[in-house]
Amino acid sequence: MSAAPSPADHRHRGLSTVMEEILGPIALFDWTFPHACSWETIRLGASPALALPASGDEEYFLRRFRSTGGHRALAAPGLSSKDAVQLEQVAGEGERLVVCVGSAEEFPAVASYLERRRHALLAPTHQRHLEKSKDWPRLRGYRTTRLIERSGGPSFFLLAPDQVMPERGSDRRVRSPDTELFDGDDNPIIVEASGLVHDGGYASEGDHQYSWLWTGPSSHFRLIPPHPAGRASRIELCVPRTEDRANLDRIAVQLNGRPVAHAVDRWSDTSGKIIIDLPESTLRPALTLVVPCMTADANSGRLLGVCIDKMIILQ
Amino acid sequence: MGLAHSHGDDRSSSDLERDVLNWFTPLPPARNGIADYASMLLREIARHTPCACYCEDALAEAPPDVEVRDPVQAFRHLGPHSRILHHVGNNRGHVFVLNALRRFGGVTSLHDLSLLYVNELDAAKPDALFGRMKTSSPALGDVYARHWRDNNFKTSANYVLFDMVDEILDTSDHVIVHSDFARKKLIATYGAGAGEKLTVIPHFAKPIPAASSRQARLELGLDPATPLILTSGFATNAKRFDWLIAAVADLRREGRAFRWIHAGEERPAEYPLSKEIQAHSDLSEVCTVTGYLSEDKLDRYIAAADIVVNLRFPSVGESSGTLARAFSAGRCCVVSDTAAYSEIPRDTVVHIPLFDSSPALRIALDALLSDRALRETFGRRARQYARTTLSIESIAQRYLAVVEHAQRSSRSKRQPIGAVNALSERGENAAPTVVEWTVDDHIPALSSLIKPPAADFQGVFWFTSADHFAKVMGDSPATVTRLSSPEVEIKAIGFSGSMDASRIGLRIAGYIHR
Repeated sequence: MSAAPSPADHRHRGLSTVMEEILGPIALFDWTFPHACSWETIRLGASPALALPASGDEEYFLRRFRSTGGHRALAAPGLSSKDAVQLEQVAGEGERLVVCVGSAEEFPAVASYLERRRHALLAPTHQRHLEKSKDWPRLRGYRTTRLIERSGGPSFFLLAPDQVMPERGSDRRVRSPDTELFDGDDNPIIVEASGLVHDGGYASEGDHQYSWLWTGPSSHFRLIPPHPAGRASRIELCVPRTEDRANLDRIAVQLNGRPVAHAVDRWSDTSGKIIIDLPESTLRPALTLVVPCMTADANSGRLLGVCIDKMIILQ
Repeated sequence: MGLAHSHGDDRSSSDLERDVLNWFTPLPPARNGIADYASMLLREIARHTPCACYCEDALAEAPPDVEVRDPVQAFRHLGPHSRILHHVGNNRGHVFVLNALRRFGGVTSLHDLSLLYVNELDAAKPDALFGRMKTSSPALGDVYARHWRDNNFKTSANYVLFDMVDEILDTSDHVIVHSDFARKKLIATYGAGAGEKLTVIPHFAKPIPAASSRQARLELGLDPATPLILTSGFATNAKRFDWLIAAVADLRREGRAFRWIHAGEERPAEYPLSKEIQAHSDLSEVCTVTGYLSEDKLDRYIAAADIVVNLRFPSVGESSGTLARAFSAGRCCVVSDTAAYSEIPRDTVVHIPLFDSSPALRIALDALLSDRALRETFGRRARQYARTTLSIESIAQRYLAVVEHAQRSSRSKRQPIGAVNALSERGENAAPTVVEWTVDDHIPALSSLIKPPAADFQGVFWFTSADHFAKVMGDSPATVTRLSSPEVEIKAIGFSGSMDASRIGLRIAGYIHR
């Protein structure tokens, strides 16, 4: 792409900022979960709505999970009118729903539905497609915008209904009518407890500034980190508290149901950080923490394992 | 920090995965006899082939080099060519095994011949349970399932009438049972087709550390000279302590010196062992009930024993861990001549008949107590049996052979067996003799109902209710004698309902020799 503005002119504009400049307040629906672009949607906001696969073993397995720290069920967004109800409920009052798909090739599957509902669509793309306008995805009544990461990172196509575009502010920093630049987020990505996708029995607690969740009552706690195929990453789970030090001494970790090595960076007897390296080739990873000692909470009677307040992802 | 990955991806290592024998079973520390059994067997088989174990408890005690995996995510690692071995029992710890069998198929080691309870525990799918009751027994399932579903009404008869094993036979590539009794029972219930899937592999005898009787008695504070009779485990009705008490009370009255120790817990609600012993004043001074013992302590009592008594009636085909240990320890054992116990070689243990059992037991114990050489002869043969036929090495090889055989067989050829009406499958040419009898308090002898000459027969014994059936069958060992006297060869057995569903019919087909 052509030259970016000089550093002196630059203020940080992340992908979500740019999209909100174009569309106004947005709500995200990650159609591709858990396969491909949850990494990108987690960068866009802590709590994207997530879609279940259509059917099969994986769908059955994922039905046990809830997103947004355990507060929201995963949706089964088929395109039938019944399933569409779930999709329509994702966006709140005044929000524009943005459906995230895994690639431009997935457009045809959802195009007619989106056209009827006038939802926006976001798809990652290859550099070569950005250059040739004939390769750009198009929908009738939609305008296609290239969203290009300033330092050469992953880029996107955004398709927004025509009527949305004129409402954009006049002070936009637009490179061209069809192109916007955005700043990639820095490593590491931090997912607060309120943004975790897990199958534990307890939802996150706290508020929008600080949240935590306890594992339990089952000794098995499974969570799905945002982790695209083809990239290795390190995951650090922060445990500010557990009632029994054995839970850090003897905790077991599984990746996709098989034992995986981990390390514990201990802060105290009952707190620390669990560190797991995810290999490059892992698809659809599910991490399991197996907590050896569940403790009954004197006040609530809940069986508690370890408290997690954030997940840090480094690449 | 560098973290070494033991594993991570699934699909990329599919070639390696294909060689893995995938177990679905509970493992210790689960308090479950099958978990202990599977753990020991897994340790041995893992010496010969790579194994992984899908177990609900990820912290379970697996042998070295055996991965414990999450059964919920087994779908990521298993394919149509995976080698799979399930250990299915009738308790809560096996619900996940049953579900894995339904999903993936494979070879099943069947540890219980009645699986209604484990199906019931799979409470997430009650409708499926009721549906399977109908499949398990088409004649009765509909009525009993309706009672259960609509009125929450069930009785212990349900656990007799609906064994639910048909599903195991349908979904498994092959089924391992642990006695010929079990094999015959399943063939009798489900027809000859079931037999093609069945292989008998007895339970192995766990090697126990060699300990001399003298040393064990010293540690336990027992008199080294007095002969010791040992019983063990939960004191249940089926272990026939009533027969043993009558026999040893006679011996005591005759002045025979011995000590009897029951190494196990009482279940007074089921059988008040201590109370029954105390009712015989001359017995109470030579009898002791220890209460629950650790395995180590139990091994010491076995080593100290001269005679290990292990009776059963009625038997559902179970085997005894204590008995296997006693074989390993080279102890003289006395068992009932029934079910799986009948299959133990005659020169290895002393078999007590089911008829006039108590007098027979008295005679046997008298002979054994007075003849040390005789006891030692049986003990040597028992040890030899444990070290050969029942050795864990031998049993492991037999398991592997079954798994290999099942893998070679195409899964696509699997045919549902279902709850066939075994009676209708028989293809004898001559029309069988048909007998029908409404049962009052007892069942008449089959041989008295069928006139000579020798013939195939089909008999139906009608009971007024399931409770009536249970009472008649459970109250008297003579019932079994009447149905299975030596001239009667039973080929199939099953249940049916009367047209108005008011009666239960016990249907027996076979051949009577004259």
